[in-house]
Amino acid sequence: MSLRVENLSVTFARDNGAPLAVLDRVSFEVQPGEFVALVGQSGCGKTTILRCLSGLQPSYEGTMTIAGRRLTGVDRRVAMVFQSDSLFPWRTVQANVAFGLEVRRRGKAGADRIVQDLVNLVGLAGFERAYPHQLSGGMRQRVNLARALAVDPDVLLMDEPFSALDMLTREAMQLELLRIWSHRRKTVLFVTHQIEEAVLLADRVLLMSPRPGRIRRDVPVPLGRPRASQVRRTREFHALVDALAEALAAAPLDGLVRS
Amino acid sequence: MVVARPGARPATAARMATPVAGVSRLVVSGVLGVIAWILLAKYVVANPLFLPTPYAVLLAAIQVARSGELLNDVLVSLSYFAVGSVIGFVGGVLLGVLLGANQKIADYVDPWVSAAYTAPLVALTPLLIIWFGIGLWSKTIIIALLVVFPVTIGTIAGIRSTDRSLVEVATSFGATRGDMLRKVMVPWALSFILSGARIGVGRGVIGIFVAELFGGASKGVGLMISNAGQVFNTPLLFVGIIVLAVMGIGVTTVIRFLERRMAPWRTQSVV
Ligand SMILES: Nc1ncnc2c1ncn2[C@@H]1O[C@H](COP(=O)(O)OP(=O)(O)O)[C@@H](O)[C@H]1O
Ligand SMILES: [Mg+2]
Repeated sequence: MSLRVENLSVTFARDNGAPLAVLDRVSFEVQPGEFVALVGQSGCGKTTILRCLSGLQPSYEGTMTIAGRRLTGVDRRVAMVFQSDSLFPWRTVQANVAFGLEVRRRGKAGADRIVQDLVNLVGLAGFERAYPHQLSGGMRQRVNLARALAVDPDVLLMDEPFSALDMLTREAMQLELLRIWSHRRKTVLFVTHQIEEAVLLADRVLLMSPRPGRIRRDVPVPLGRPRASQVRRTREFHALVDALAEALAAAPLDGLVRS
Repeated sequence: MVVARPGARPATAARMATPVAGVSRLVVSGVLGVIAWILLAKYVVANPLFLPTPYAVLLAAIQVARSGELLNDVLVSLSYFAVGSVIGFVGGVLLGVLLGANQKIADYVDPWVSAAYTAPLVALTPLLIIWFGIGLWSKTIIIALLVVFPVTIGTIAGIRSTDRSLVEVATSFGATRGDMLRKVMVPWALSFILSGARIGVGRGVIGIFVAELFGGASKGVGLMISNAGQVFNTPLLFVGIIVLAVMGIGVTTVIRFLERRMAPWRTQSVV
């Protein structure tokens, strides 16, 4: 399902001083089954975009649609992988994965199979009954991903899911995400502040300007799939990363096209 | 992929070392305490009416235990103590959830809960006896009153401290208000609730004594203490106090165990 965001603006009221414009007429589109990365400096409003899409942001202007139908508030077609893994500490791995199915009143029998399939898919077979505090950071993010996939959303939102992981784990998890995505080909909007991560994962990279956030550039990633870790060492990869880094560093009003 | 076995907990060694060290410290402090008691009783106070030796207390204990009186007294006290604690606990959780989850109601009720928490509610005992008679009901209600407010306050604190990001996860999946309470807030608050219960039960033990003192009971540990005091049977008075202390410590230990069992992800107790 294609995801469309049109003229999304968010302004936060502040106790002292002028209101804070965080997003300024953000527009973009993600095609069905496409993996799009949203890149920008910290504080530019990336999380705010995802909060709007997942129904957690009460006030905004603009419209958001999936397959032409508007998103108003929490919507079953969307699921979010949160930045901090935000697992329920009193739930086992399988109970965490089952959470969304429970609150959406999915029958137990069907839910059990969905959960087991996902636990296997994200590589946690054997850890079904472990608790989050018994898992490593990478494993917790696997659970976080499985929990979002369990409700079979049309659009998967991911908010810097690997930013808290050490470098080796992060690189492993990026490839794992690609593997999992090849099995569950969702429309993905993936937020990161890391250009390499965006290039490795995405079909397209949206670059945001600093606050107030706007989409400054829309750059396709012409790397073939499936992508393996060797992609990181190719010349094309580096050329893309360099070009994007330069564009991101350029002044906000440098006349570059807004998509 | 980084592998941690499901059973493996961080700092397993520390967890295992603690109970052993704890027990040995307990033994040492117990022995030292008894020695100090003996010295104090024999050489400083030197009057068994003022302070009996541990030996005299032990003899008194054996005597009441043999005759079956002690067991009888303990069972009577324990029965209304247990019922009152359960009523207070359930009431405290319900009231705490209501106030923790409804800020508008809480704005008006919170001051009353704080007042009731701070007030010496045991002083209401004579009044409750006028209202409910001298039977077990008035005693049950005193215990319930002593337990309910600490539990309420613990529950409110737990509900209000629920991790915002967990609330947002649940919201984003479409959780109803009931789901939010049952699946997020109450589980989060559980260790706070149990801490409140621990404080409440500690107060309840004092309630046993006061309730039976005023309550015209015919049996009970509190009565045993006050009777012993009236006839200057100091060893028996000590037996009663020790029995109440052991009851208190026993229940508190069970609750502490539950706190650790039910919230193993918290490395420290919340209160
Ligand atoms: N609820 C809020 N109230 C006020 N300001 C907020 C709120 N949420 C976010 N902001 C501000 O909006 C800006 C963008 O935040 P965010 O979307 O989290 O950025 P990013 O995810 O790109 O780092 C930040 O400056 C942040 O301080
Ligand atoms: Mg963010």
